[in-house]
Amino acid sequence: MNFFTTLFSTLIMSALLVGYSPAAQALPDENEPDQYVLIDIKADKTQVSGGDTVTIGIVKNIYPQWHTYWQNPGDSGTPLEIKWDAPEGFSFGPTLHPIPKIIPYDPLTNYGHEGQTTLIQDLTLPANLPAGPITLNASIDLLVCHEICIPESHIGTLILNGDQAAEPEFIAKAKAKRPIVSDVLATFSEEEGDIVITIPHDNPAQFGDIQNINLLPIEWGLIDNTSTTQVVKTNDGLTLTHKRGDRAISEVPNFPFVVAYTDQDGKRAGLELSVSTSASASAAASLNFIQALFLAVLGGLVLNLMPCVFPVLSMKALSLIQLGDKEEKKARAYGLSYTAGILVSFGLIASILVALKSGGAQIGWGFQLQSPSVIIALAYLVFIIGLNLSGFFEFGGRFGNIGQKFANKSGHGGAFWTGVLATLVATPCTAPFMGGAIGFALTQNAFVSLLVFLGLGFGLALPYLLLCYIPALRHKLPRPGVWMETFRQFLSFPMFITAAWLLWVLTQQASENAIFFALLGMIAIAFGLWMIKRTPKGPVGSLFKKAFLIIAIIGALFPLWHGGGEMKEYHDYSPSTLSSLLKTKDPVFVNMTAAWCITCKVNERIALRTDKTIALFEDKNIQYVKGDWTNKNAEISQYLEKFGRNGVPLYVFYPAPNDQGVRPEPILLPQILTNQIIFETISR
Amino acid sequence: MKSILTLIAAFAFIAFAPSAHAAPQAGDMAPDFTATDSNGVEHKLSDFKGKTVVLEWTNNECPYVVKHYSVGNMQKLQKEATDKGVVWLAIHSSAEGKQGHVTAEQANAIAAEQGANATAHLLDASGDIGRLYDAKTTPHMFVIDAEGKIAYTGAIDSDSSFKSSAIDGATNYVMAAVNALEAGTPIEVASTKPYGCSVKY
Repeated sequence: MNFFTTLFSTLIMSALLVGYSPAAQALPDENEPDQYVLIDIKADKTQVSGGDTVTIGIVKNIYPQWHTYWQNPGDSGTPLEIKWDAPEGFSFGPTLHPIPKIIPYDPLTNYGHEGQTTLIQDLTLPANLPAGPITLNASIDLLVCHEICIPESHIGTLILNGDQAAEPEFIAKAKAKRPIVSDVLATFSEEEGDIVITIPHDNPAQFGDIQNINLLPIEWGLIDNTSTTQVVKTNDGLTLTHKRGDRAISEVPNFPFVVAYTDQDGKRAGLELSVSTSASASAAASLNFIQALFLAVLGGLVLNLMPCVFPVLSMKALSLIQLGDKEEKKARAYGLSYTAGILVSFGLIASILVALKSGGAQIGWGFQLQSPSVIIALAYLVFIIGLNLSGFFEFGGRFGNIGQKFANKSGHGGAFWTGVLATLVATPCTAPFMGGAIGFALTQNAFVSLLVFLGLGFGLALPYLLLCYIPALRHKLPRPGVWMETFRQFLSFPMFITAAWLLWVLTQQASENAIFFALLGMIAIAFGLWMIKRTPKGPVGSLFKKAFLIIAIIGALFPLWHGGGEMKEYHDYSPSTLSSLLKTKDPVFVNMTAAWCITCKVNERIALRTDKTIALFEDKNIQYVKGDWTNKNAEISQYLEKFGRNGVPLYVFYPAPNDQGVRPEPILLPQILTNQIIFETISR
Repeated sequence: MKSILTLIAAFAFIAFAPSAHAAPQAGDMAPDFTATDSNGVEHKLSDFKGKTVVLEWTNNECPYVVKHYSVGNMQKLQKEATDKGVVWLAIHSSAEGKQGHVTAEQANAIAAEQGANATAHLLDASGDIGRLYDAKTTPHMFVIDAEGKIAYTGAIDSDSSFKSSAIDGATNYVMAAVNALEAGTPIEVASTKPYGCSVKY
């Protein structure tokens, strides 16, 4: 902003400020006052000594029909703000409001006061007071409204030990307009969009004759202010039902409110109390929490029996058999390390989930399974474990074998990593089983979510932990023997089943060639593991081994790499579809392909289904037509012939019509595509 | 086992049960509307899909609106936001005969006088849009993300004072939401109590 615009806007601002001062506000009333509220400060005593407590009354004399606001102003408005200018040691309590009036302003509702209204505030004096009169000034900001709103600033003055008179009766009267603070234990619940509060009575007659009962929360946003409070008087007390507001109840763990009513003498009275929304959500929701925790531990236990987890754990358990009773301490330590491994993994996953969730992502448990790469990686993992169990290969060095003897294990680290591994292989089985309970956990706060996850992990760890801690249980296990090797081999099959299931999951999310590549990847893994065992002779052999291993690794990693997404939408080829698309003004791209055509699939992967091309197609509004020649299709064959081809792939681009509405000749693309070729063809 | 399944189903239900409130809240889809602006142009909210939209309920005579316009704060926010490609719609929901009611000409004159930088001034004398959004105060602010979801609803900033001097020390929730949407980071405060004068329906 340059100097002149600054000057100009400053001038406008000042003009606006003057224009909007309350006095200039155009009101119909000729006798409009300068201010709609007159402030007066009174006190129950004015002759004081050190350590006294003085009750101050902040009196608002409000212009007829106008109103000021309660501490919870309702849908709009703002409560009075007061700042005392007082010497050090003068301590002011909270400002306490009288019972408010409900002021409807369709469709909104406010809570406020009319006429003369007094707020109460306690002042505690320091032990040593200055000599002579003490003048205390309060700067008061308030909003006063009637159809329109006017903010006002006031200064109120209280003089202690001077000539200001004490007005104890006035203060007592003002105090009587306050709700009675009650410590009765109310109950709170949320039902179908309503807040339900039940207040037990002190004696059966307490709520007998009262009328016009309103629930008035002291905090904003908890109820729909415009709705009326439904009241049911029961033998036990008073049940208030009120439509919920927009604000989350969880923001107000302690819900303070006033129940206002007209008593038998026609006087407006009220009770002020608070109810814990979390503790008495207690009655309903904490039960849910315990159920969820129980369910989580139970679910964790069940996980031990899952085909993906059972083999790993049973081999772990059997290795314990070989442990003598003397090694009790060692067993316990291993049990703890293993449990720690599981809990840390679960805690980690839960933290990521909670963090993503609070970041607003719409995810649930099993989110990691939505990525084809993760599915393939898990399939590889269970496949490798299966191969290991079947005896196809043995882990060497730092990795302990799954069925290896306990004594040979490489310390606590081994047990810890077994826990991590158990969690990892358990994840695919967790999703279908625990989705609901975890869904519940994720709707709760982070702490509850984490606890439910840890419960799940604890359940998973429990059987092994018990085995480690209770030697009697270990004695119940069968004696070691040759059968263990047979059993171990048998256990490889559940792992293979899990791998097969994961590949089936993959079919739901990825193309058929992704499955094919994943299977090739598994073969590459098996091949690589097989190669490791061979020790070829001579440098040539070793070179071969290295080359094969590299091929195997690339082959295994290739499926994990994903070349972007899918074309948003495509049209299945038929001559009529194409001709009607050609009548529009959009460019058209035709892709003739087949499932068995490797070139087609490679082209789709590296050039067509890339983010770049997808964006380009969307940007240029290109209509994508796909013809599938996997099975015999005469119409496609005829189309291929038109371009002098008798096979796929075939890529044809029809540019958009020119200004005369004539579509240029179609462009034939090469059989090997790249992003660049597509881009150049389309931009031509 | 059956009871466990029932429990799981119950939890799943809890997890996915729709909320029962009618008033649009942060996270809800912003209700669509069509309105005519002070230049006679029709605007449909859903046409702005792909862009961040700010809704500002306004009433040029309301002291809280004046608080922000008199020192150029609202104009500055409007400029900052629209410079980022945000659509800023100022909505006048005061009914005829009530404070803040404006004709198209008046709306344009006020906007010119204020040096306002809103994308458009929508006339809503019937209060239909205001009621649709349960707009309570002037200013009551909504920030709608590119997908049409309400990213923020509530007060313009953290200080509900009517004094312009309070603006500097306050946290502006609207710009925080707009910037978070631009940066793709989570919105820290998605809902607050709107402060100001009541909307003069």
